[in-house]
Amino acid sequence: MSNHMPKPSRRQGLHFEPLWWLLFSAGGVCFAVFVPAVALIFGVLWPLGIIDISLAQLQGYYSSLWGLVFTGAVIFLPAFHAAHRIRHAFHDFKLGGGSTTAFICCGTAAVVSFVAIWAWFMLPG
Amino acid sequence: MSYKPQLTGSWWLKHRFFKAYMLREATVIPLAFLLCSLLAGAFSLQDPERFQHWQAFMSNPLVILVHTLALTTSLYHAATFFVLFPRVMPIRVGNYQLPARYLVLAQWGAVWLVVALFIWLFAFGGQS
Amino acid sequence: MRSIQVLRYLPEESPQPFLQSFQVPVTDSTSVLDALNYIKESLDPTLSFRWSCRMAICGSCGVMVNGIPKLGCKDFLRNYPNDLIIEPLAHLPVERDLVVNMDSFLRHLEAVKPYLIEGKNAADSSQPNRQTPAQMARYQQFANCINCGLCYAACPQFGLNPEFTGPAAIALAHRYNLDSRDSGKAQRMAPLNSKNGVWSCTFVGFCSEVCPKGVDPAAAVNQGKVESAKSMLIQLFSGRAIGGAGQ
Repeated sequence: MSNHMPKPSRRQGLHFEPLWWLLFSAGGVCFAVFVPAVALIFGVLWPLGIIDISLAQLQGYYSSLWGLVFTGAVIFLPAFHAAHRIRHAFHDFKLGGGSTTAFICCGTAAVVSFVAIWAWFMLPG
Repeated sequence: MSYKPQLTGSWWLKHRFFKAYMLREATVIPLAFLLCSLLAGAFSLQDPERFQHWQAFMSNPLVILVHTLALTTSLYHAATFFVLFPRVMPIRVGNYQLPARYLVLAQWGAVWLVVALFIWLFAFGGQS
Repeated sequence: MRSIQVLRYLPEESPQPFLQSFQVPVTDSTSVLDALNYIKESLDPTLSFRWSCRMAICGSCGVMVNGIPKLGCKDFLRNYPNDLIIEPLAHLPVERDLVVNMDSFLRHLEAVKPYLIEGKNAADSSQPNRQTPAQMARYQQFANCINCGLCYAACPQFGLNPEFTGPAAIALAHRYNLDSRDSGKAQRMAPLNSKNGVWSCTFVGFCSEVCPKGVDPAAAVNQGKVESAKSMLIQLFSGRAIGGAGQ
């Protein structure tokens, strides 16, 4: 960093906590509003054979723009929500929770989100 | 001369309220598992054989058990999260403060609406 | 008569705190503070504890009762049919018996400037500061704080990190930020924006549970996160440093 800036840096005193918190909050809403339905359909009803879902039907839905919305609301935001809580749990258990933990947790969430968006792009349609 | 007791990493075991807090924080563990399952699912859509493998994985009784846990904990998370919303972002129209219970009810309404939407999409094929 | 236990700390006698049992007379209206006063007057004059008003407004007599922060004058022995253990407030250094050192709390309180700061929102100094009931309603809830420190004893994040500004100080900062007569928000945002400010909170929410005056400090802290996020975004895009001093 240059130390002959004409005035104090506009980044002075700033940090990433507000960003992680906004992602955490948005993810918390998605976790509460969308995840129950997704867990019910894909995690319980479909595997138990109560409802039948075909590959063609899933491909149809997922390859549309709604697939990207699904990725954002059910994978990307909840992943950052989970990362934030896990990071703070490390702090609560006195096992870290500082910037290294934040980097690992949010980094994992970023990788998961990237892979999810990549999966959407890989699907023809 | 003074002493200061230090908190240990197990401070949250000392009181019911703190255990409920940790349970709230732990709801993300089954969520993380569900996210990984869904991620695998997103990749399996490219090829019918992979899709069958994914379906077999999702039908494993242990996996169903964890996903049932994810469903339960997502509802517990919702119950704890919805009451926080009106406290963090109180909604005020002019001088009228919208009562918190309406905001909580509206959020539960959204949950059931999304459940209904998914059942309509997947159990009825999106047809009326 | 019933038995209660008090955590004693007499540094000139023993370097370790120890529990001591006392037999106290009890009626339906005996408060924890009444029991402590009985011990001091009739059983052991060396017992040290703070108290003053006996009516839950001075905020001096905070103690842990069975591990929960309480005002001694507002909590009654009838609520504890079984064991009753009185300890000094958690997360603060203990000087003697039930007397804790409140310096760190007061330091955090001082840092957020919990008083009206004059500026563009204040009336001309020859005029009274007028405020409508609606303007007052915006902050009144947070103005009920009596600085008793129970919320600090309840907050595990303050216990883990004593540099955390903490519930009462942030609630009071928020109270003045919401006041239509105040112009000091820019000065208060610097401590609130820091990692030890609002961002150390994980919304455990126990502070609001134990508050004897019904203040909701957890709500204030988390409304403070929204305000802090806004303030930091404004700084990032406008280049004006947070804190406002000299800018």
